[in-house]
Amino acid sequence: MLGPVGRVSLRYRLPLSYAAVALVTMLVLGAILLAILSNYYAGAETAYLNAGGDRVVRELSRVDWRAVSEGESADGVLAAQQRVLAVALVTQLRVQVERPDGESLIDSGPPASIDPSVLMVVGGPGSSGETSPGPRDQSDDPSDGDGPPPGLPSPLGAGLFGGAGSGEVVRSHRTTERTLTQDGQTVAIAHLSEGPAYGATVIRTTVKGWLLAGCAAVLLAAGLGWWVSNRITRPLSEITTASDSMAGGDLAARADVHRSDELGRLADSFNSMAAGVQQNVLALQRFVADAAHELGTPLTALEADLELAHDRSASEEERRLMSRAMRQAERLEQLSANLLRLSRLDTGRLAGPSEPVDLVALTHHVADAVASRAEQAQIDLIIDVPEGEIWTQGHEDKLRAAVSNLADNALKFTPAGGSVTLGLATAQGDARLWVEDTGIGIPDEDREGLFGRFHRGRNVSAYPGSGLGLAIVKATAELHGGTVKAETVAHGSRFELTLPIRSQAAEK
Amino acid sequence: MDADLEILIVEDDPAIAESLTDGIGQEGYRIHWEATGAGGLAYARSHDPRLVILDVRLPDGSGFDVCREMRLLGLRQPILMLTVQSEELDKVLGLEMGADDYLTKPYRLRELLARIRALMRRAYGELSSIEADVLYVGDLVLDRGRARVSRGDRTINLTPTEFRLLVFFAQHPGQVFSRAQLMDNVWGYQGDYYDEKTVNVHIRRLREKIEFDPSTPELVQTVPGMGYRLAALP
Repeated sequence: MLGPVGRVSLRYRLPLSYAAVALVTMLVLGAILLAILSNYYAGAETAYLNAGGDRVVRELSRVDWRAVSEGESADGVLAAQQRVLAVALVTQLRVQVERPDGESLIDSGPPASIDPSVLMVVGGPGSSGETSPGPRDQSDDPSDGDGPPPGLPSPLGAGLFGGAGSGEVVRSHRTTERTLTQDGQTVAIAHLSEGPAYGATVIRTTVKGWLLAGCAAVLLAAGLGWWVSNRITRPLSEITTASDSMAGGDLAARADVHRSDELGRLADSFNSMAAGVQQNVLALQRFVADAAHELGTPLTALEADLELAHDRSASEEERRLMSRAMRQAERLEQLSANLLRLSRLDTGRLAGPSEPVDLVALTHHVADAVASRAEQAQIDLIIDVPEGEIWTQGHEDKLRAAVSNLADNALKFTPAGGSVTLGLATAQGDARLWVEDTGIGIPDEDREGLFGRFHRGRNVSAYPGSGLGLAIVKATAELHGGTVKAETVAHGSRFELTLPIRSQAAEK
Repeated sequence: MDADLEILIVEDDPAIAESLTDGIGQEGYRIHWEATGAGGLAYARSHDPRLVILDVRLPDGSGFDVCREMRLLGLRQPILMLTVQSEELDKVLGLEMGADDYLTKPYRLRELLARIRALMRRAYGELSSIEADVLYVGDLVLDRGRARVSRGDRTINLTPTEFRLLVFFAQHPGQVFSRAQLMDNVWGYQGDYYDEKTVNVHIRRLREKIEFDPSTPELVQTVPGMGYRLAALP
């Protein structure tokens, strides 16, 4: 059986890759959109700054700068201050004007803190003296809604400014600088900065929306991927389940997929392959069973005739030959019986209900059955079985045959005067049933294929046997979810069957 | 033996049928062979043989059906089924259908003959009892009057102790006896000084004489930790 598929499963990989594609698409689209937007707003902000700069320069150019520099009159500068502040207020720019020598003439301060009353001051030049540059905290009514002065471009259109009035206005980091020259001399330098960056708000809102849409898209893609992957993996896991069942011996397992696409065709071709395998395996098993059956009939006749001839023959020589022929016929007969048994075990997982089997009783039964033989062969039969019951789940006749097989082997390969032990114990949740003898042991070179079919040990040629006995034991152990192992011990061999214990609690 | 003792063999395989005819024929029985179930049934009705040997696999159906039909027709002779399938189901079926015994192919001729003798004795011969002068163990005949054991027409030579041992067992078929009990009853030893090995040796020799295959004893059985018993045979 294969291990479970984890995160590498198609089931997860497909939705993940869908989501990854959606994410990448979203990021690329978003980046392009952002670039276009910020580029556009950068241009717009620059144009706005430039327009503000032009206006400031126009206001400043009305001042007689020569008079100012010669200290004759500061009135011009005061009037210019008012106008520049008005421009700053209306355009929401920070305007700073300084002389070429660095003396600051005007600073509107941050646009949000400009006192709107400067507009009224602009209206009445006489009161200009009360107004000073810079931020001033006045509780007067704000201006009665003068729009931006004519000639100033509306920043980016009213539509985009919808939400600009509420809350903090984001300030642009862009600046511009204008130099005013009069009579070929630089008289003032205007810095414009902190313009409203409505673009940033727009971009921020856009990014927010885009992130939301992106997440939705990724989730949607993942969901879609999940659905698609399910449609792909469900038939695949159907086929996997079916092939696992087949590997587990259920040759009748088929994938239940009804689709017209490639997966449907895969399932169909798997099913027809499974049918073919089932047919072949069954045919082969039937062939072995039939062959064993068919061999049985002539062997019966042959043995009976040999026996008859043996009993009737007068000469000792003839009887010796007959006996020899009979032994070979018997060997053939055992072989065919074992083949039949093995083929039944091979098909065993397809047929026959299993039931609880008490291994304690089973071991005693086997011991009873071989006790006479052991005594007749002058072998000490030792029974090392605990009191009580040890249950396993399985087929009692098959298990008994397997244990008998091991016991028979032990008796066969143990000389008179030796001993054979039938033992049973529990260890680590398993039942261990062993047969130990003081016989000829197992040569190292036979360890490998000991449980193989038609394997005969190097040192057993003098003993009768078909080479199928241990294969039958192994097939029986495996049929019951157990194992069998062989080892050489001090004076002989030890074969141990390990079988899962069926807990009484699981009985009902 | 009486030529009137006719046995019907219903078996489709000629090789087996011929072999059976020869083998059983040497015991003095008259053999009639039918290759089909229908033929066998017709012959059984018209000739009323003493015993029927019935193969399970027949060309025109199952031997079980023939067996059941024979019983339905009121034929009461012993029926011995021959089967190649050793499955428990087949055996049970065979016996429930009215068969008296079964034998799994491939079988040994002497085993078949033993079964036939036992079936014949049960159906037509004397009944085994402790009082009777003649005891039966399977197809072994124990003649106490003449201190003789025979199987078929073959006489088995037993020592007086072996004979007493066998007779004691035959009087209590299926019962387990410890070695001490056997010493008491067969040897007549009372008390503690006896050697259990005496019993073991005699049992072994007895087996060598009366068992078909002494290395796998079927009549005198060892019961681990308890003693011995004689298999309770039909």
